[in-house]
Amino acid sequence: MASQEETETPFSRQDHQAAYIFRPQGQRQSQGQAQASAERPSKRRRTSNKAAPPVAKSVPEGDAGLAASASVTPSSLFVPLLNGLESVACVQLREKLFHDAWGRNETRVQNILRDANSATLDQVATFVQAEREWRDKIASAFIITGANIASQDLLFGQLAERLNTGTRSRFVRLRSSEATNVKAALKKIIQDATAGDSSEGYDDEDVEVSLGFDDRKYLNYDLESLHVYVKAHSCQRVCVAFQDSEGFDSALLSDLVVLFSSWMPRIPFTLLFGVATSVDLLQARLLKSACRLLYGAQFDVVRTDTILEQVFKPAVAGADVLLRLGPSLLQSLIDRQHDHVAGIHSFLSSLKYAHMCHFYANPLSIFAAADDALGKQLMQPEHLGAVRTLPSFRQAVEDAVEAGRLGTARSLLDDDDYLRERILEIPKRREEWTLGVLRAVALLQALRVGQDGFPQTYLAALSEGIDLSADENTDSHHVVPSVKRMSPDEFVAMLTRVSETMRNGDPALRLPGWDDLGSQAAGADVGMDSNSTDISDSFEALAARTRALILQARRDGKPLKSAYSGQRRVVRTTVVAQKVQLSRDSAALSDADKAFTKVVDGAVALLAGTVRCVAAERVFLHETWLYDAKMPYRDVFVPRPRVVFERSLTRPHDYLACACCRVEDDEGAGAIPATLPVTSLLYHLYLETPGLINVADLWAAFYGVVGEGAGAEGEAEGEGEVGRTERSGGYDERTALVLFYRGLAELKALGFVKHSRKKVDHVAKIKWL
Amino acid sequence: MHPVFQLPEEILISTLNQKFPCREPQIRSLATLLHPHAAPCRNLVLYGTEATGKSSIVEAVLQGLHISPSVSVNDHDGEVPADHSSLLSYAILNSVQCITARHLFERTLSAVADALDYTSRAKKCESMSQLTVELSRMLKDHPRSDSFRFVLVFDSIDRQRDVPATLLPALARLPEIIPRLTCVFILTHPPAGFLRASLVVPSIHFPNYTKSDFTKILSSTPPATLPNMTDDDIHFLWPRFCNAVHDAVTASASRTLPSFRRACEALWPRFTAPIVAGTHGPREFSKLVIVARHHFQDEALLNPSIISVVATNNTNDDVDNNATPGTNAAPTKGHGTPAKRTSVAATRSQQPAQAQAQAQAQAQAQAQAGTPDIANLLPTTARLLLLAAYLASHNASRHDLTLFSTYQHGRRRRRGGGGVGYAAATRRTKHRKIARKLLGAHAFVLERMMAIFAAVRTEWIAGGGSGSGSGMNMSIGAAGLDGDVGAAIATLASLRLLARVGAAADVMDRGGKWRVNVGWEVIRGVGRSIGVEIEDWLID
Amino acid sequence: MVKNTGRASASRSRSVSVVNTPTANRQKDKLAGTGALPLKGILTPSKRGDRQTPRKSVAFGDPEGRKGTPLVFKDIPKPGRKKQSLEEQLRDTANATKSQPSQEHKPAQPQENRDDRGEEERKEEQEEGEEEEEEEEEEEEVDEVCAICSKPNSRPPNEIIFCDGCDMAVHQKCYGVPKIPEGDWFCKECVQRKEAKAAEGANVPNFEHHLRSLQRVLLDRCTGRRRIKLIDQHEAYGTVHQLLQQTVLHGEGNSMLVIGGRGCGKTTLVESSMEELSADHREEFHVVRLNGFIQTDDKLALKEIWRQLGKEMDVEDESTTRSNYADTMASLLALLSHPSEISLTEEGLTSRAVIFIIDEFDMFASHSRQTLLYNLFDIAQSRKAPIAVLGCTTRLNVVEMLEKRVKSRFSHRYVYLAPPRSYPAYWQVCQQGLTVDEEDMEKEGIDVSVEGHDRFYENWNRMIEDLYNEKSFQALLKHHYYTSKSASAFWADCVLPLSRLSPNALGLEIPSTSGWLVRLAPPHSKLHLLGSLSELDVALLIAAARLDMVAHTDTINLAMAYEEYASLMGRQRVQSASSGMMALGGGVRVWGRGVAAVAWERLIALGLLLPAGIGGGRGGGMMRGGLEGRMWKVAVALEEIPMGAKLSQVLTRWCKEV
Repeated sequence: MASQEETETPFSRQDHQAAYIFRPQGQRQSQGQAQASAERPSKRRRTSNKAAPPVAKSVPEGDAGLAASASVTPSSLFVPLLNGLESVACVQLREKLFHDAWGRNETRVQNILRDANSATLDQVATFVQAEREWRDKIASAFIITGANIASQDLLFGQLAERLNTGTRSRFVRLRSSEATNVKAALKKIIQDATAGDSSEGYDDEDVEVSLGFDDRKYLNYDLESLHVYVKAHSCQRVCVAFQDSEGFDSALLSDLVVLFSSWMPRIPFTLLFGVATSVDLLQARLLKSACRLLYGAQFDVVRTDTILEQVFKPAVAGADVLLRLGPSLLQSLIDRQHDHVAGIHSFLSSLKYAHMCHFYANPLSIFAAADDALGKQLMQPEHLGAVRTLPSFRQAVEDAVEAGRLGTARSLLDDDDYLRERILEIPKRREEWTLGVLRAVALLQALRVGQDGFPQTYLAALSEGIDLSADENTDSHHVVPSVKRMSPDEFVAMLTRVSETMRNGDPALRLPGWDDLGSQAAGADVGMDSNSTDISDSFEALAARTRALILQARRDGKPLKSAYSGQRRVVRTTVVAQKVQLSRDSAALSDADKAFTKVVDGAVALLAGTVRCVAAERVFLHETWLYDAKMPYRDVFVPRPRVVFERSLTRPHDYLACACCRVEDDEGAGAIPATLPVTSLLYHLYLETPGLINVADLWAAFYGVVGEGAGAEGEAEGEGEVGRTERSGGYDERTALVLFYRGLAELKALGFVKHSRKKVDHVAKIKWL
Repeated sequence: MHPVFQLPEEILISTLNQKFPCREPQIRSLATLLHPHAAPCRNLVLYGTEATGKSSIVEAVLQGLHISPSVSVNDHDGEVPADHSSLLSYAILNSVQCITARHLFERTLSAVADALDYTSRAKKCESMSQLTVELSRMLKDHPRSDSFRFVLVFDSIDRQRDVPATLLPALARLPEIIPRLTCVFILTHPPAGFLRASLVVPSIHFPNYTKSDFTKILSSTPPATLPNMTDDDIHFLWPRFCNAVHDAVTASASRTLPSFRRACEALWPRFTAPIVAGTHGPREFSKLVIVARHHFQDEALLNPSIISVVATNNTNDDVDNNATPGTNAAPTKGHGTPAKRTSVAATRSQQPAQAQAQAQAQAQAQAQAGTPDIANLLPTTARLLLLAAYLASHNASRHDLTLFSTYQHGRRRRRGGGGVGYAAATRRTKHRKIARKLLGAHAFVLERMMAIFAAVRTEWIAGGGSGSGSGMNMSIGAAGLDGDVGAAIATLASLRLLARVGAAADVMDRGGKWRVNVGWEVIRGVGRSIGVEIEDWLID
Repeated sequence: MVKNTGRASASRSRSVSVVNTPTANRQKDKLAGTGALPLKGILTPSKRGDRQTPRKSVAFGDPEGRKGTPLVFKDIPKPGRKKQSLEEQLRDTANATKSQPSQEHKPAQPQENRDDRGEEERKEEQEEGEEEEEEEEEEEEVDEVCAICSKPNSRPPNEIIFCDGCDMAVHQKCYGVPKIPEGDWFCKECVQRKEAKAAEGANVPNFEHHLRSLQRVLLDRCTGRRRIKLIDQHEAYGTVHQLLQQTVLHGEGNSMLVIGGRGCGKTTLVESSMEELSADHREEFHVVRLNGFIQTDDKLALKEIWRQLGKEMDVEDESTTRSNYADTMASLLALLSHPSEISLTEEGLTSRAVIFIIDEFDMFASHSRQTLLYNLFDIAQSRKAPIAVLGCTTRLNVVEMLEKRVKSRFSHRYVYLAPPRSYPAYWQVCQQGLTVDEEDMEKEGIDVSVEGHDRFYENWNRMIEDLYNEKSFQALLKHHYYTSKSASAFWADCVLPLSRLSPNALGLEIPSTSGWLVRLAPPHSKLHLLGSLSELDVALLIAAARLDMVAHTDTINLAMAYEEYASLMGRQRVQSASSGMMALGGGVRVWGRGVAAVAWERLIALGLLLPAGIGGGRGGGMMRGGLEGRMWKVAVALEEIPMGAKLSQVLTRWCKEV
């Protein structure tokens, strides 16, 4: 890693090992702070041996418009894989693919996020801009943003550009970090409101500013100046937004409120509070006298989970998403979302990270792209080799063998050209599969029988596929029985929904209607009658028939029911008893009911035929477009410092794989090799101590291990050979003492022990777990 | 030749009396002590509780003296003042608006300069001595008749921020240095000798209003007439109504004029609803009181929620028609409390009762809807951590073994006993023992919270059906304090739901001391959101 | 005066044995108001006993309190009204002065003041007077008989009442006093005497002019805008004056401390000697006045010195605009030090003496390293320049505050100003607020030549003497003498009554009883706040104060107080329900937590709850509910609360039964 500066490729192999030294330059690869590191690569680019157009356009990876061009700029962090044999074109293609895929996603997601707030923005704006004739209360909007502080920035930014219209109405954003006391808050408010030159900071010196038309000077925290400004420019309102109102010291908040209201008629204040928890908590923190001065209105921002839903469809499940996330990864993502982080942004970043991992580390990812010409000429023998190692490939071969199609298997194994052909089929196969899955899921959603949301359905479909024709017990969604159990009206509604979906598809999923794309795709995966339009038509027909039946039933006043509706159980029990009752029961059905039953059966059959898809793993060569690895994700996003510390101290060998500190297993847990690094040695002793450690005892034990008297092994130690005397045996006392103190200090620095006031010459054990 | 003594003339005082009823003694004494020809004193202290008219009366008196003819025109010493302005001008400074002492000085200087329309004001004024110099320059060098007096009013000086100990004595010294100056200090309660003045400072007490005063003041401004009511009906009804409100609410809970007025304005529409609806006549007062009794019990009168409008659609256009100029015509005596506003809007639509009811309902609904919110807003880990923190704060650590050790079997029972013990403890409060819960949250070490968290999480999550993938939930915090748990703690800390005690290094610091910062109701809500009764886990 | 077994003393001062119950006050005061005010001539009984009463209410209040206090007090006002009107009639007959219509019916109540007075009376006057009052009452009880029927028995409605002027004792019936008057009561002789005085006072030629100019003088004195003569401080005056003279005339350097309590005339002493000095040698010295409150550190003080010196002796301007402390000091030293030492010799510059008058000397002693004092004393001692440093301070131990080097340079000369030592001396001082001596008539700008001057002043002085002999006046004077010995406190009481004098209302009553005159005395404790609290506030306060006792916790938060409050209310409910009397007003309503929080906040805002130290107050402002979670101390003791406000029986019981 020391060679970081000189390596012509900005990344060296060491970057991918588990632990590496942190260098500010090295941090570039992770979350796209390209703004920060934009210049440095352009400088290094000259020395790089890649074919590089010298034009250096550095783009923030964030925005998608430039992403495509960014792929061309060889400020590339992508390195040739396949032991470096991968061709540059492939590398660039991978990068390009990544940028395309993610860029598309990101633009969509950003738009969704922006639109998500629009309703709230309108409400707030109308409230703020409403004319009020009473002046004894401060109009204040409480915006419930939820616990994700990150989303507040976006929201308040939008609010600012919405409300900060010239000098007529000023908008000031306050963060709790900026306003620690009244003075600082007022300085910031006045400065931002009067849009004064930001030459003097919000530091504590009291400069005098002169505003308005007379030359009088004011202290820069004197609201009088703001008043003069307001009068001079005839402002209608001054909006002060407490962005994270919980972060503020509550005394400061009430103080400010009282202060504002004392200026109220002269300076038209309007307050906005970003509330993360609940208005009641905020109210409980404010002074009652301050609460009495507020005329508040509460606004809710759309919740995170609903946003997640909205984001999920286009960004993860969308028809044109290049990279599929595997079920297990998705499941863990969603669960983490639900359990830990209450912010959509972390979800997005993890999504992006998945994309990065896939396209960065998977050489085969280029074949997922649609343009086969590119793929053909780029294809290298190494690729084929890599493909042949894939589990899905093996699966396919085994299937072929079992199916007795030995020729296929053989040609898969030996015939490169055949394999090439198959590889080039990947995009088409992928699209077919995607279409099938999405249609199935969309129809399932249209049925509205399963109570679980879209992501769950999607995940299920992804993991084990959907097959309604399987018998009902294994049917995860209990679709068929519930469909059968439907009342006629629900049934009709369901049918109409289904046909609706089939006709229009799902725009959020970028899923077109069934009929308006070529039937070959449809025919390919939907097994039975190829033409999808007449499927929807047949649904229509069924619906119409049911309606007719309902009307007729109404006419002759008998409720319409199918054989499955109502007392199905009775029927079943009687079924096991004798068939006589069964017949009688069926006889109880009017012929209208029988007709309806027939219709239901037809519908179920039709659905079972239509709603079906296979699990993602079953698709041949899905590895090229499916990413389902949880491991790097958890390591990157959920660091576990404590576990790492403790492991490194208990088993230093795992990190500094050196012979000296291997803990042999044959010797029991009791014996601690004296050759361990001092700190971990102390840590081993530490683990055996009670809550309050007598340092003298610890020292005695330590010296007993490493001292001269102790074990005769004399080989050099990992770090402590400084004071190791050449005499065989442990350290002499002085050295040991030095080492002991160093180790103890390190333990203290790592936060395992602290000084205890209870007893002198004792240290307290902090670690509980 | 000194001007002879002269009292402020009656016309001024009588007008002021009409303006501020029930304050005659104060007005008279004030006028006497400020009038340049009466007994103008150096310092003057006005004290009394809030909303007793101190500031406004002083301002009115000064204004009156400023323009009063006797003071301005026929001043008794021979020489006519150089400029024919009056013999008394004044400046009022509100310490609530002054952030620092220097701020106060600056504002004082500008105010005096404005009052004397003195052009060459000093550029800056940082210290008391500078202020003294400037003031004496402005007041001495100004050509005035020698019975001219300037009055500086320091309003609510006891609420001045970061005030040095010598500020008040120094201000009280000003009139000794500048002879024609009078300083008036307005505060709630003057501590003994707080000015450290050589002379005993005359201080005028503004006592709180009595019941008769309250009713007298309010009945001077009767509300707008309503349908089915003539004016004299209102004049019959309103004072009695005010009396009733005073007895029900003001005398017993909050005896200040604003809250009394607020209560009356909030209650009036509900009180007169039966009349408007026509079920009762305006004269049957007692019946009306009986009908409206439950309204008088409403505590939201005194403790209003900060949420006045709920941003649902119907109330949105409610906001809008509040905003229409049509409503501006509606008489809202400058006190547009939301209740009154809705009532005004509703009186046109002839059903104030319903309007009131729904406004109240919305307010209440909001009030209740608030608390469970945070349970839904927080992710599961954060909720668990919050609960753990609450337990760590409110249980003595000696009970931890009893509560959380998974080996013990009688634990449940002991927990139940704990609950009962707690109830008993609250009942025993007056016998030397104060319930631990009342003492507020105690500080705990982060590790302890983590231990509790680790101890309870499996049980709670397994017990509580929390949304989807409860299978995954078993793994919450399994890794001890990993990134996610740390993030959750950081979130709680940034929301001030967890407060760090003292100056701990960072969130991950094992030794850091923390305290939970939310109340019992919230915690119970959070606990129920994951199906845990926190009551069972408290031992007191 | 009423002669009545057991209540004689209490009713000798009816007016204020009532005082503890504001309602009674209100009504009474309303009556006092409704009596037309300007009519209050000398006739009107100067309300007296205003002073004694609280003491009485201590001595006798308890027995009163035992048997339904309010009942006794409620009916007292009525007689007052009657007697008032009666008074008016006979005064209208007596002097034909009419009243401006605008001054009719003034409702007002200075009851708070009386309350304060009352409770603080307990503090000082408990020991003094109480006993002898007692036995005085005793002997009155035994041997007083009606002056007309000479029967000793005194039963309502026919009690024996005493004239407050001459202590003549008569039966109501015999003397024709239907009701026991509210304020003081004078027999006809006394009434006529006073009235006669007023009459002959009033018809002095150009009476109004005399009155007004006298008022001007007296009021200026009372409000401290004219200097008062120093009474028997001659030796102090002598020392100061001589010191100044030595400095000015003989060019010595001197330093001296004038030590004395607030308002005992330090400034007067210094300033008057300065005046006398400047009378003849104005040209020979400069004066620099510093004030420890205003020049809060040496830098400012130096700047100020520069400014004043620069203004007096026209120093070239650049020296005044010196910014840096060190060279300001240096040049100041140069300026002050003797021309022989500095080369440049502006004649007439340093030959002049400079007199530093440092007020609040102790503040300067608290400055860092006392640089200014050191240098001044140094100059003064080592005769560099003729300067005199006069320090005025109230701290007797101010010398201990000086550093060693400073102390060593200070010529240990002190002048102690003691407050008047004896009661007559005190009266002599106070008298200047009420009378003007002949010798300083023209000094005060009153021209003696105007006709009727002598008669007017002789009347006036006689009136003052009568006033001095009145009991209530004596009480007031005694009170001030025994509490503070400060004359200005007494003058503060005189301001408004003096200002009310007018040719057609000559009755000077100090202390005044008329409704619209508020007392100008500052409050004596926070108890005056209790009067304006609502029942909930008081209840919470009591609950908190109780916790202090029952639970031995000195710090309380809202939760604890509310718990106590709720439990008390619960018990109260049970009791009242059991005893069947549910009608105790709002006292039985238990308010919710939110309202309680509002009340709590109000208590804090009023300073009745003080924030406990950081030890008690867990985690400052950001604590839950801002105020709720924090710990507080109660500013008033439980037993004080009933004195502060009139409580309902429930609350009173809470205060008593711990």
